[in-house]
Amino acid sequence: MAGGGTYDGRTFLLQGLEMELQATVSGASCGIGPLTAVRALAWVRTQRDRFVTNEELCGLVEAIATRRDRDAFACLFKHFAPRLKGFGMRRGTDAASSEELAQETMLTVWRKAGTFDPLRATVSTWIFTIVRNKRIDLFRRQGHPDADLSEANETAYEGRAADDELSVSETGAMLRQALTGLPKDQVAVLQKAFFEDKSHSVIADELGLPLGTVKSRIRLALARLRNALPEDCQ
Amino acid sequence: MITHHPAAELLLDFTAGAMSEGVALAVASHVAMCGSCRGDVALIEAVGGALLESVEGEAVAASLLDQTLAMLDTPDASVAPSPRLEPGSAEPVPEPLLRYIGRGLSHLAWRRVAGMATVEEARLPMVAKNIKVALMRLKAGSLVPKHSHRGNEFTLVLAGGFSDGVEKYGPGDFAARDTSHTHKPVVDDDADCLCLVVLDAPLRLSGAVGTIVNPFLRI
Repeated sequence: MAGGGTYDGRTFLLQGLEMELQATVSGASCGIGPLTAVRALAWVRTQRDRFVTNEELCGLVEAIATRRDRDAFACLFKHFAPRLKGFGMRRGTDAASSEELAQETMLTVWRKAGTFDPLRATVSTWIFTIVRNKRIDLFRRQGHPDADLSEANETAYEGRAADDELSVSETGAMLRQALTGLPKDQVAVLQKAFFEDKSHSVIADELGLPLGTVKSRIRLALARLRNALPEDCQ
Repeated sequence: MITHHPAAELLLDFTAGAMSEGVALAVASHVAMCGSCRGDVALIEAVGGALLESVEGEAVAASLLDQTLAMLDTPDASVAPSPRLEPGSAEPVPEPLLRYIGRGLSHLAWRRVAGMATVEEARLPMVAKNIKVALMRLKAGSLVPKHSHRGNEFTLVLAGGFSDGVEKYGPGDFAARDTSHTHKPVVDDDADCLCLVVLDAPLRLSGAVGTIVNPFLRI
């Protein structure tokens, strides 16, 4: 499987930079002072966390699933817990409840790690579905019928030769890229739906737009994203 | 072949988690029956994943990781109730519906809909009270009185089929109707029809026969 780094050039560059700096810190090479190198290394590692690849995250989930690896869980927690808390706060939920949401979500990640299928979704997508369901449990106290997508995956992968198969990581990276290319008004609608869990009719009310305008923004956005992915992923 | 699907905005509401339980049940059940909508939901979930990855992180309390690590081995108290179907029974309903039908379709509290010998319904339990979610069994060839809606009506065909005068609906087809629609569905002649019907506000009667069937259409 090709790395997410193929599309995430930043990850690749930062990995190289990290190795160089590590060598400097260990005294193997010179050019910049050791203290500068230590600081730079710390900065690079923070940046690396922003652009950590899906393969790395998959490895952590797999370690939890197969070995109940608590260190792997701690790494995954450090990557996702702040994002999950931020996700809760974007909805207007207070900091304490958003931390509870992050914690509940990560506990489910630990319990359900064995059900994660890296051929079906990226780790971020899988965790998104967990936090979405937790958010409904915690804040709306209603059931949430789930669609089982396992067959969709089988269909999507049918009849494709293994060597020209795009990995989930690669299509995930392409989707992120495509999202940045969407018109702002379309992104705003998607963000309100996902971050603030507002239905399209509530979004139309809040933005003071006719319902038809919001519907067409959603349809256009999804069509553009679909077209940005290779046909065999659709 | 499925020809009627939930619109993109409904798939987005559903996938983002911004949909009431009853409507989500109809959409999830359709998606379970429809390969093309499963693909769309997978795409929308991937958008959710990409947005989650892009969220500006909020620092969590330093103690949260240790607290969470200490909780890892405690059993999960929030396990969703699993289907309670009688062993060996196969019900003609998609997976998301199973947990709502208890021991099976024949054990539901079916009641004849007033005024109509050919239509029965069984309400499904929902947390929210302002929504009606029911399975309906309609005999082959039966007519449902002309009606319109004050809110939205969502119908998913599970077996058999009907026609609303303009379009035909078969197994897996999903119909959404809002206040602007008045319709008078006719069930196909060759088979009984089983549908999941979700109403998020009371109906408005538009035909003379309506007064007779009022109790049926009342939420």
